[in-house]
Amino acid sequence: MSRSVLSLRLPAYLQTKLIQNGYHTVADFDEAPLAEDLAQFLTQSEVRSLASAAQAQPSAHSAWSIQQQALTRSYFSTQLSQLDTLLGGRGIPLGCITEVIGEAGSGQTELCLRLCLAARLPAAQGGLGVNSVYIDTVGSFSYCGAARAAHRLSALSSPLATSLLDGIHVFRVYVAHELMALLSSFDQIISHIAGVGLVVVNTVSWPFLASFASNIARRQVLHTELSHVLSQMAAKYKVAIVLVSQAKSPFGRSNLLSSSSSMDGDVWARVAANRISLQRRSDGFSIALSASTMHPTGETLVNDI
Amino acid sequence: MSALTEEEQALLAKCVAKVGCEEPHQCLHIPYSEFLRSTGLTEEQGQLAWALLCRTTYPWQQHCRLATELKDDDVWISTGDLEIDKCLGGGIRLGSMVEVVGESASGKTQLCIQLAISAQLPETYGGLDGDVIYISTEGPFPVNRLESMVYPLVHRVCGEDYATSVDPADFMHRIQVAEFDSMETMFHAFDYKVPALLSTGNVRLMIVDSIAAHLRFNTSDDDAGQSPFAFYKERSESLVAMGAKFKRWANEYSCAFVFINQVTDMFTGDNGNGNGNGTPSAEFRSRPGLSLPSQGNSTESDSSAELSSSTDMGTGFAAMATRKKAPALGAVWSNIIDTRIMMYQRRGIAPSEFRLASDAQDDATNQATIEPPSHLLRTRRWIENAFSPWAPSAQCEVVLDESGFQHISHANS
Repeated sequence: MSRSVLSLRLPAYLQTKLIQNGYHTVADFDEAPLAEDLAQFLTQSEVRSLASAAQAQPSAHSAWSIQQQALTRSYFSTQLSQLDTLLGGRGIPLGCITEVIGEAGSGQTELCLRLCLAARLPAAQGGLGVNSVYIDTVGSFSYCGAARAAHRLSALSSPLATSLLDGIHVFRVYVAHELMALLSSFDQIISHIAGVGLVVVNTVSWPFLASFASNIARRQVLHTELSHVLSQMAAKYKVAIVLVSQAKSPFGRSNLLSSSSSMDGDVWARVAANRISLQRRSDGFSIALSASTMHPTGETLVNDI
Repeated sequence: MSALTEEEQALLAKCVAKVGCEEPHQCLHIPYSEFLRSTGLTEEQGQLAWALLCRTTYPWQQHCRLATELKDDDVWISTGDLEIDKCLGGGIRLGSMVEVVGESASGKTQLCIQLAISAQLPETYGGLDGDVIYISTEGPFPVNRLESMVYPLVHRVCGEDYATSVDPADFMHRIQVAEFDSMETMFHAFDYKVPALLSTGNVRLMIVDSIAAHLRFNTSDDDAGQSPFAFYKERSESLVAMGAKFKRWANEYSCAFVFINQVTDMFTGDNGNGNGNGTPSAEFRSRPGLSLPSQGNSTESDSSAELSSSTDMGTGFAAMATRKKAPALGAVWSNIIDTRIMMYQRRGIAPSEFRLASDAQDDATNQATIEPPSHLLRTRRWIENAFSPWAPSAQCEVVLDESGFQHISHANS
């Protein structure tokens, strides 16, 4: 049984043209003599795109090969032993999305800065020596904040600490279309900067809120689109993507794990391998791994992020 | 950015027309697959068009900054007191959205007046030689307090010579005050008047005193039938729209925005005593009276350890929470600001209210002999950096006098 024309990855108008001219399945136009017939109502480039679409088969991999891929995945330590423990002892995985949820003031920016620096550390210290792309949508990034974060990383001397900062590339975006434009240009950015291992978006919720304050449907459509784009980006370029999303409502005093939800719903959770929740306490910060495809959930308390 | 060729312009125009929007960047508001469908472009052409849209909307090469290049962006407006500045990470950072929150009479307006004067000082004295915009929504602008603070504050920060050489009127000229009595007029000003003032390029600080006044309750007459849900929804949207504008201006015009916010009561089912009647009892209002443990072993140092400024108040955040109060305007607003400064005070107690818990029966005899510690008698104030992306949370005990706020070093108390 041959594939229907409608199942091919072609523009809708091209599918319509084919059907109107009597070509309903791939078998109908696969034979060579029909090429001239096609040329009557299709341009050359359209014939070419038709040929490539017809040949493209949906791919499937064995579970084994996927596991092998997972075993070769790289991780970098967060340099916070309690958080590394929550993350199975290995840290943040490359090629995956990690969602970070927190209310205002719960340490999201501090965590983002820490991860950018931790990724830059050499392998001997648990890092990967990679550059980071920090997409700042709210105006959270500052040199002084980053320098302070560098000093909080354990056992680092001052000159070494600030040398980590030259691996962070900051982009300031304000609204949804700027964020979409930036991420669509990612392949150019990756080749320009080289050695990028981490992309941080702080926060991913705000630009859509800013552009579509009253249109929740439009926000959700774009969130879904972006989640697919980011998922593919993480896998293709083998980068860790950390998305900070705004928490939905004040957490209860107790259970960070059960009350953790994002203002965007679960759109990011659906594509995230790990979901980290943050909460500020009077004596420090509460960090929880509230969902993960790789590790059991858990919660911990730290003095400083 | 290189100018577009005619071909490219035509392509953009075609996309805009087919997608049905008004501006090219709005084509990026739909998923890529929908874009291809609407424009009818082939995969190849579609990718070209999309890349062109991205390039014109956000030319990333111009926006990429290394963290180390951003060192010059760390510019601070001093509060006029070095310890308070240190507590806040350097003062008020240009480009930031700062909230100053506290109960009424905790000194929020005084702090902002102090900032307004300090921002105008010349750079040699740690100021930014900048103009100030002051949006006033809670009654008339306190012009007398401003005038009376200039000389003492300038004297404290810059010394006698400079202070006598300046005219307070100069400081008052450079503060543009706008008073609004409703939400509509305030937002209208945000859309038109404020950008016009900011575009001079000289404004370094804008203060909104307060952001909560017209937004906390539905006071407009024409929406008499509006449901609470609709009111909060509309308020959130207004705050978000306003926040987005200010964030961009803060960066573009190198200006700091300070918003004064009020506190609101938090109602929970259980008011902490298991009563479950849901109303804030007297328990949770500021209470001046305090009890000390048995006086047998208590020396001055013991009692000060028990009631030192850091342990009994906790952090302002926690203290407010135990008193069932939270900043107004909700989570939407909390996510728009980047820094929250909390101001709180504990009023002094009268000696007659001073009791020793264990000797409650014999209070008549004991009151004559025990002198309450001085730090309980006077009003005490704190400024706290509750959260900020550029500094750890910290608090500082302060005193308020004619020159504004100054820190108190604990060696003296």
